Amino acid sequence: MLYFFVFLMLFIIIAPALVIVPQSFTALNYFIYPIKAFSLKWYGKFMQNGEWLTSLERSLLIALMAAIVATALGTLAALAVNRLNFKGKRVFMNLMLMPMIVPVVITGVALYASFAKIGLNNTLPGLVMAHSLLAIPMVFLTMSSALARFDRTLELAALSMGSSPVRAFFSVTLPVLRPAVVTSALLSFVTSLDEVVVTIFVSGANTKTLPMVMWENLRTAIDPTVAVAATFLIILTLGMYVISQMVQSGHNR
Amino acid sequence: MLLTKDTNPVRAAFKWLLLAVPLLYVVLAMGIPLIGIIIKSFSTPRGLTLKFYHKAITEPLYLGVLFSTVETSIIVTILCLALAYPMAYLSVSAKSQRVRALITGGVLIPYWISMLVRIFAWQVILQNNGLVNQAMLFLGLVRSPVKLLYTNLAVVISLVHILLPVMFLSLQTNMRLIDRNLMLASSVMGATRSYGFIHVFLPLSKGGMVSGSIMVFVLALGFYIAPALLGGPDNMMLSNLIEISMNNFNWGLAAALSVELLLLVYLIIGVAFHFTGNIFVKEAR
Repeated sequence: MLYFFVFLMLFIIIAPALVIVPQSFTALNYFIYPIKAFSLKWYGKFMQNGEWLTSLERSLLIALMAAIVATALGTLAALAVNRLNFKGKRVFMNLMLMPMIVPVVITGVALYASFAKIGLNNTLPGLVMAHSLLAIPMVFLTMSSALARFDRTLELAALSMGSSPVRAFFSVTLPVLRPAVVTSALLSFVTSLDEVVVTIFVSGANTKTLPMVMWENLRTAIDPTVAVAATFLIILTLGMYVISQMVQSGHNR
Repeated sequence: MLLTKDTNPVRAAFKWLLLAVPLLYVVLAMGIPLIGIIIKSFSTPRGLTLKFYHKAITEPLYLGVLFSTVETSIIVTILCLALAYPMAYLSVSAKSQRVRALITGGVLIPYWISMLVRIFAWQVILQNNGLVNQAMLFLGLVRSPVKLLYTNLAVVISLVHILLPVMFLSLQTNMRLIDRNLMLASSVMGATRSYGFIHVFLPLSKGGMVSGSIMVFVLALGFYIAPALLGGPDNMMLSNLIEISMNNFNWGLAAALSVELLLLVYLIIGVAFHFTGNIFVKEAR
């Protein structure tokens, strides 16, 4: 009974995410099951349409840069909490988690208003800043938990052998933490790749991301090209999941 | 100790960069814009005002959206708890290691699939000629398609789908810490399995239930895309109202509603943390 319920739930959780994929191969121009005729015409349309392709490229570029910024800053923040003693540590931690807790629409409205003053709306740096901000809490949490588990005696051993603290960090600490760093980077990459709400506010005609173009299509006329875009997003994000699992299991072995 | 007791002044200054760089970034990119919103919510071209707040809490339309946002979030939280609990329970107590890994993996996969894609999927599934209606027609449960899309039900379904992993992880983390021997002891003392579960396991898993519920509730309060794509005009949530006010160039109202939502979120978190400690940080440990 319990097993039946749990596996039914698993099916209900996973299946909906995947119903979109077969629809990208339909020959019709609306979504219906069962699919009576298959074709690749929507893939052709996706490839020919400049807006879809440029937005995909732009999304990947922004996600890459946001992942680098967020991973670096989130790791620094986690190190600060783990290694330094300072007053207001709890305030600092709450600040680092704030982008995750503040509802995204509020972040979007606030960033739009501030960016308007300094001309960052509808620019790539503005989007990278917004997306990296949203990803910092994920990195912070991932790195904090990895650091909490990290065995400090390894580092002390390196120090006692005459290694400098900075060198000990790069040659001992960082390699041990590598899986967590990779996971953080992948999480931030996916966070950026998937972001819609803040993007709605701070992007513009010249800086549409792939989810942004999808969003506009979903609100107006839906045709199966959206399903093609969704399929690409699923492949990209699930790919990240598989990589993160591989990195983790490789580490545990 | 590395980076903690350092007599070299250059290094000592360097280590504070760990703290200063991320702090500066978050304050500049998040803190200052938020303060800007708070200021906007009190100001008109002619000076300070409370009229936006007055409007936000007296206008029936805005008040109605506030209540329905809270109501939807409560329903979503209860459903997440009820559905995730058995899954989390089995994911820590199943005898087969493979089953445990399968459940955890299965719950986490959708977490990595784009939220927009998942909401889009529900649009396709719940439409009038979608899979759910087709199935119900086939089984003879209904005679003509039922309107599922653009209803509150659609919003609730997709929010539960999106937030279930959050609840699951919180429950699972907590259940892993429960000493299995306690259940064993209760059965040795003659308790039936269900008696042992209700009187031993369930109370011990309270911590995970509380922290998971707070997280799901707070996250549900701020949702925007799901109500925008799956809900009808009557199923607006606070986030949607904020966006609409802003698009109508009613900045003061958008700002006041933002502060209202922010206060609601932080009030709940503040009260909860008072009793449980910072769950967001504990989660990572």
